[in-house]
Formats: sequence, C-alpha cells, structure tokens
Amino acid sequence: MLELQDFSCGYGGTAAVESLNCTFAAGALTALLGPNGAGKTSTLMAVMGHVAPMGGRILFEGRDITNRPPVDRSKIGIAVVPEGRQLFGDLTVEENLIVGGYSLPVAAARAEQEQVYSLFPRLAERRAQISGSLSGGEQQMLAIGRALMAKPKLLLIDELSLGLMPKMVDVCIEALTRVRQNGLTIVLVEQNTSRALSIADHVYVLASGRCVMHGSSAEVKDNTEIFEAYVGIH
Amino acid sequence: MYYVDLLISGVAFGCLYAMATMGLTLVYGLLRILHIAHAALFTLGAFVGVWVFNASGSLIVGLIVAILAAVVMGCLIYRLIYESILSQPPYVPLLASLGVLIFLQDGFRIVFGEEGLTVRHNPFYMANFTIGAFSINVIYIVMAGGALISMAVLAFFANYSRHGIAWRATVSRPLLAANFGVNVIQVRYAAFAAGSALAAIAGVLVALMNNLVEPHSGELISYKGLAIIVLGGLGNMQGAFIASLVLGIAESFGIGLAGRYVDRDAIAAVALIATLMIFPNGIGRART
Amino acid sequence: MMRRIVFLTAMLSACAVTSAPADIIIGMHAPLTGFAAVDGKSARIATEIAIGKINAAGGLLGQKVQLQVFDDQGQGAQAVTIANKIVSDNAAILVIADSYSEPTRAAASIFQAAKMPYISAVASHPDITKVGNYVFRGSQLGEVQGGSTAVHIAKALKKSKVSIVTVDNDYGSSLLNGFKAAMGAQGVTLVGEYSFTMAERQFGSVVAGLRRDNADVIYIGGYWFQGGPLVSQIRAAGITTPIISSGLAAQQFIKIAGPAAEGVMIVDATGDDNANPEYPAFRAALRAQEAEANVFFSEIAHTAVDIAANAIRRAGSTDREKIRDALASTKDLRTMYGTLASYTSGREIIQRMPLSIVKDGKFAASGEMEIWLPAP
Ligand SMILES: Nc1ncnc2c1ncn2[C@@H]1O[C@H](COP(=O)(O)OP(=O)(O)OP(=O)(O)O)[C@@H](O)[C@H]1O
Ligand SMILES: [Mg+2]
Repeated sequence: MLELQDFSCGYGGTAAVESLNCTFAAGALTALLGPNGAGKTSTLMAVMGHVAPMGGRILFEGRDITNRPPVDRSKIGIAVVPEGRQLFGDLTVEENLIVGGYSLPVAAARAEQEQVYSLFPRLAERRAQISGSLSGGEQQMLAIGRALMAKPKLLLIDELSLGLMPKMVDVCIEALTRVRQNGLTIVLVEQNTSRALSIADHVYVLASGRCVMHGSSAEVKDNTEIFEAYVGIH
Repeated sequence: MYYVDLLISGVAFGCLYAMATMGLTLVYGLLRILHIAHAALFTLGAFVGVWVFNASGSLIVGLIVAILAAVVMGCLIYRLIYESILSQPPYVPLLASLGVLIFLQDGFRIVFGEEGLTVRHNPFYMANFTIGAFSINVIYIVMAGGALISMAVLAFFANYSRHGIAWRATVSRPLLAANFGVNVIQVRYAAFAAGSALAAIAGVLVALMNNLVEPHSGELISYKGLAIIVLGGLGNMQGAFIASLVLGIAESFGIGLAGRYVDRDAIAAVALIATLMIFPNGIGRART
Repeated sequence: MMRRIVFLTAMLSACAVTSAPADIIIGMHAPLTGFAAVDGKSARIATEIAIGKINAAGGLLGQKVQLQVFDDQGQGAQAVTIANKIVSDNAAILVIADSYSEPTRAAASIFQAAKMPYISAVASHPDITKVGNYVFRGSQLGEVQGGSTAVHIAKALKKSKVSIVTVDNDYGSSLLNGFKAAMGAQGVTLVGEYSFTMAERQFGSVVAGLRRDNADVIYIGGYWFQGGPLVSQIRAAGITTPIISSGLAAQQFIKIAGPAAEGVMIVDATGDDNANPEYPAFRAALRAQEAEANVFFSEIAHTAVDIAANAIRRAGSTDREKIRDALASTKDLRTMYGTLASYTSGREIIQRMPLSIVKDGKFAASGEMEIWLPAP
C-alpha cells in the first residue's frame, strides 16, 4: 500500500529522517515506535506532503507521490489523525466532519457522516458544539472521525493515546478495530509501546531519524532487550 | 430626535464600514497580512462605478462593472504582490501593501483626474424618506440595507455551505485543510474576490452619498480598517461586524458631541484603545 | 512618489530658467500636488495666462517676465524649503503665494527677512501680513469675510439665528472669529457651531445637529471638496434652510452639489458675471487648458499678477525696495477680482465685496455686501 524507499526528509536543509526503507502492507496495522524526536511525526507529515523530501521516494499503491501537493492526499485515499488532534477549533463537530469529507461528493459525505456518528455516538450528541470546547477524548474521537470522513484507504495516526485516560484509549482502539474490518490500512505512531505492540501486525522502530529495528510484533517482543534500549519501558 | 438622527447616521456608517473592511478581515484571517491596499479597491470600485454609471445611465451596470474591476484588481494584488512574499516577516507584505495603495492612488489621479468624478444623474440627490417627524436620507437606508444583505449572504455562505465551512477551516488550520482536499489557493482567491467586491459596493455607495469620488477617497477606510480588524479580534468576521457598528456609532456621537475638538480618526483611535482595555483580544475573541 | 517627481521637475525647470539673466523673474508657489492639487493647477494656469498676456504686450520695463513655479503641496514644511531656495537663488524680484494659509504663513517671514516683496494671493490668515512691510495681501481677509457675512445676514437677509459650519484650519477659524466679532452688534446669535477636518466628506453628525438647531440661515466656510458633499447631504436630509458660504466659489462645488447647490449664496465672489472686459477671454483660456475647476482661485491668482505688474511698472525698476513702495501705493487698480481701491497701512486690500448666488448651475452676481472691518 505505502512504501518509503531510501527516503529522507527534513526542515530547512537539516534532515529529520534519513534513508528510511519501510513497507506498510495493505490491510495491516503497522506501528511506528521510537523515542521523542526520533522522526515519527516528520515521517507521517512527509507522507501528507508537509515536510520537504530530501531524497528517496514515497510510493502509494505503486505510484510515486513524493512531490505531489498536500491537496491531492485525500483524493488518492490518505488521511491523517495529526499529533495533538489539530481540530478546526472554531468549527463545530459537524463542520469538522464536513471538512473531513470535503473531497467526497455531497451525498457520499453525508452517508459517511452517519457512519462516523454510529461509530462514535458521543459525537452525534455533540454535533453542534464548537470543537475547541470538547474534552480531550472527544477531540480524539472527532479527529479520527474527521479522517475517516474522507473514506481513506490509508489512515495515519500520530499519538493516539496522548493525554487520554486508558478507558478512552480503549474506545478509540475498539473503533479502529471496527473500521479495520473494511480493509483499512493503518500506520500508528504511539508512545504507549505495549499497547501498540498488542494490536500491531508489524513494527518499525526509529531512533534519531533512522530505522533501527523492524519485524512483526511477535519478533519485536522477543527482542525485548534491544527494543527497550531504544524505546525505554513504558 | 437629535440623538436618533445621530444613531441612524452611526448605524448606517457602521454597516458601511463593515462592508468596506470585510476584505481586510478575510485576508488577515487567511494570510495574516494587513491588506492596506484594500482601501484602493474601495476607490477603484467608486471610480469605475461612477464612470460607467455616467456613461451608460444604468446604476446596476455601473455597480456590476465596479465589482468586476475590484475583484480582478484584488486577485491581481494577491497574485502579483503577496503570493511571492508570504513567507517573509509580516512587515514586508505590509510595506508592499502600502506601496500598492500609493501606486494605485497616483494611478487614479492620472486616469480620473485630480478633482475626481461626480455622479451626473444621482438618484439619491435630495431623496429623503419621511416617517412622521423623522426624515432619513434614502442613501443611508441603501447603505445599511446593502451592507446587511451582502454581509448576510457572506455569513450564510460561510456557515451553511460546505465551501464556506472549508474556507473557515482553512482560516483555522491551512495546512491540515489542504490535506482534506481544500484548495487553499482557491480559498485565497475567493477571499480576495469577496472582500474586493464588498469594498467596490461600499465605494459606489459612498460616491453616491457624497456625489464625489476622489483619488484618495479610500482613506476613509484605510486607518479605520486597521482599527476594525484589531477591535474585531483579528480575522474574526462577527467581531469585525460588531466593531464596525461600534465605531460608526462612536464616531457619529463623538463628532456630534465633541466635534469641535476631535476628528473622525481620533475617535477610531480612542475606541480602539478603550475596547482593547476591556477586551484585550478584541471583541470577537472575548468569548474563547 | 509622484509628488517627489513633480517637485523635482519643478525644481529643475526653475533652475533652468535662472540661466536667462536678462529676464524679470517672478517666483510662485502653489499646491500643485496633494490634497489641494486642483486649486494649485487653477492658480498656476491662471498665472501663466496673466504673464503670457504681459509678455505678448512687450513685457515689463522692456524685459520678458519669467515665472518660476514651485510645488508646496499645501504644506508648511515644503513652503519653507521653497522660500529658502528662492531667497538663496536671489533671482526673483517678487514672489506670489497661491496657496493655503499654513504654507503661506510659514514662508512669509523668510521673504520678509530677505526683503523680497511677497503677495499672498489666496491665503486669508490675519497673521500673514503682520510679518512685515514686504508682505502684501491679494484678496479679502477671512475675518472680513466672516464679519461681513454676519452684517449681511442681519441687514440684508434680516435673519438672526445662525448655525455655522467651518473647516478646521486657519481659514475656517478666521471666518469664525470675524463672524463672532461682528455678530453681537448686529443682533445675530449662533444656535449651532461645527467644524470639520480637511479630509472630512461624511457629515451625518453635522447634519443631525443642523436639523436640531433649526436656524434661519446656515453659514458654511470651507472648500468645494467639502462644501459639495456637505450641501448635498444637508439638502438630502430635507433641510431647506438658506445657505450662505465662504470659499465655495469653485465650479467644482456646483458640479458636486448639483441641484442642492441652487440658491446657495457665495460671499466675496462675482462668479460667472465678472464685469472685467478681459474676463470672457480669460475664461476661454482657462477652458482651453481644462482648468475651470476652481475659477475663483484662478481669478485671484491672475489678480496677484495684475497687482505685481502694476507695481513693477510704477516702480520703473527691478529694485525690490522700490517695488515694495509701489505696491504699498497701489490705487484704483482694476483686477480680475474687482477694483483694488488701495492698501491699508497693514497691507490689506481695500475693495468692495461682491456676493453671488448659484442659479441654474452658474454663479450669478447678486449685488454687493456691506464691508465689516475688524477693530484695529
Ligand atoms: N517544524 C520543524 N522545524 C524544524 N525542525 C523540526 C520541526 N519539526 C520537527 N523537527 C525536528 O525533527 C526531528 C524529528 O522530530 P519529530 O517531531 O518528527 O519527532 P517525533 O518522533 O515525532 O517525536 P515525538 O515523539 O516527541 O513526537 C526533531 O529533531 C525535531 O526537532
Ligand atoms: Mg511526534
């Protein structure tokens, strides 16, 4: 589905991620782990078109999208739940969802909106509320819902559990498990590594902008010493 | 009666200011640029509108051509001036904008003449509307009505159409809005077009009231425009509308009651300072 | 930017003409750019027409007259720069100010110190001539206009309650001062008093006040670019009170105020009925150069040249002191603005004051006003 080939990117000429080779298989949930500053967010935002590529390629469904403008992302089927939610804070819940489905035809977007509301009934209750005034958990639900509105094939999630109480994390993970049944491919960046390992099919570990380890969740769990050396115990 | 007259004139001007300066709010919201050159679009609309009205005899045709001219000029200013300097520190676009304003005002001098244009057959001349003891200039009603209608259309669009919602999302988070398929560049053109069109309508209305457009007519809204967007909470549309009304009424009463000692722009400055002391983030941001 | 360029060109052309030393050089400054550029243009072209006529008739003292034109932008600081330049060039034998009170006041003391005769053609602030014996006036003082208006309202119009609206500058305040000084003795009272800034065009609050005042007469003192919108806004509000005005004798005023201008009385203007036999030819020459926007300004600019030329001829010399003395003894001189009877010891003009009234889109002569003079 998504492939990074010898990919580097960074800010103002300084590389944040270097020579990354990753494959994210269709239908799989791949976790991207690593300490603070490892380059996880940079990698995701490069896929969204916001971090300048400095070498290598990004392939999506076999097509090179390295230099396509950000505005094309939702049309080809990529959506993001950004770090810190980044809701459109002045807009209501429903308006956030409408923007999420902006690239779909009106009728399709409306149908998708009902799907999101049934996935997160909490959002349906608060559809007219200004999103900036939602609780942290509700905001994360809305950020996920907004991304799902675009009917993506690939969903990038940055820090799902950040600042959420465990119960709220459960709600979100459960929702993701449900949408995965339709074949959605997910890339999940997480600080809560044990949680991530328990649901991921495959894992990449980044440190200082490079991939230092990868394998199936089971393989990574087996190599706990190396893994913990990089990521630390959570 | 006197106070009612002052209130009417204040409300009429408040509405007009709102219409004339909405473009500043829209552009500031999207690009964080203080678009001073906007004042020249007000003048351009007035000149073109009056010129075409005089030549064709039709106010509607004049108004339409004025709107088109201002929209084209507004979009050109974005494309030729702002687009390439958006990443510069804010004073760079501000200075560029000032330069455009001066350039256009001198252009108006050369094209339309130093003494400006007058309306040949002004339908609002001496037209007044009398209810009992009240007598209101028809142009005030047209000014307030025109402003309220056009602002209502804009507000409806911004709140109830998905393009309008996408526009507001772009104001909130331009990068992320792009990721959901919102074409940020088109949104910018739309903002320049809508703001410029409103400024052109306002310009024509003021030209009809004064029966005069001068090369520097836009100065009416240049300084005040800045006060309004700051008062309104920088980029906030409802806030800017309320701020415009407050300013229109403050000016009307201020000039009426202390007119020998203060001028219009001084009142705007005082209103600015007083409001910021109460709402440090502007009227529009007071809630959040 | 434009202003700079125009100013530079004026400077350069001025420098160029100084290289012809045989000519008589007259300096002039006017607001050629800026807020009063239309007035500056009216004055410049009228001055050129007047000097052209003199040269066509053989010049002065057998010499051609050269005009040096400077742009003061209607601003004091510019006028000071210009005055210093003219004085240091030491070529002009006389200087005319076709400008507003601020720049004229600023320049006057520099010319006085250099003993260079200086005629303030338009500016009406009383302090200008008080600078010294080289500074002369070309038109009526603002105070005289204001005071005579009070007398006219009482004696000719037989009214007493007046609302007054004046521009907030030297001209406006001298009108107001004259009016107030004269009104008591005439039994005239002010029921409303308003002022507006130079840039003002929106008069909603003033109009609201005028409606409340319900005066017998409204007196407006200002310029065409304010008077036009003000008069139309007064009439548009349904106020039909008679209006008398100072400073609005510009064709552009009628163009802006249109039908609202009808019946407005204009103090100290003969308007389109000027009785000078050369007047029709003068108007035709102005029209040919599209300079009819402010004919009153043109008339008094022409008048300043009339006064200067008459004095230079009588002085029979280009000696500045002799020219000054000749100016002071001017007698019964027919100008484009009337007949200048003589100068007072304070170098103010003594001249009758005509009144005109807007009729069918023209300024029509409407008799003369009794002159009121401030107590010395
Ligand atoms: N906008 C930016 N401009 C310049 N440098 C940046 C920017 N964003 C991130 N960086 C740098 O790039 C490197 C990688 O940062 P990134 O945010 O991708 O890490 P991360 O793995 O997401 O960390 P965290 O777990 O703390 O979110 C860091 O050194 C960071 O300082
Ligand atoms: Mg991160």
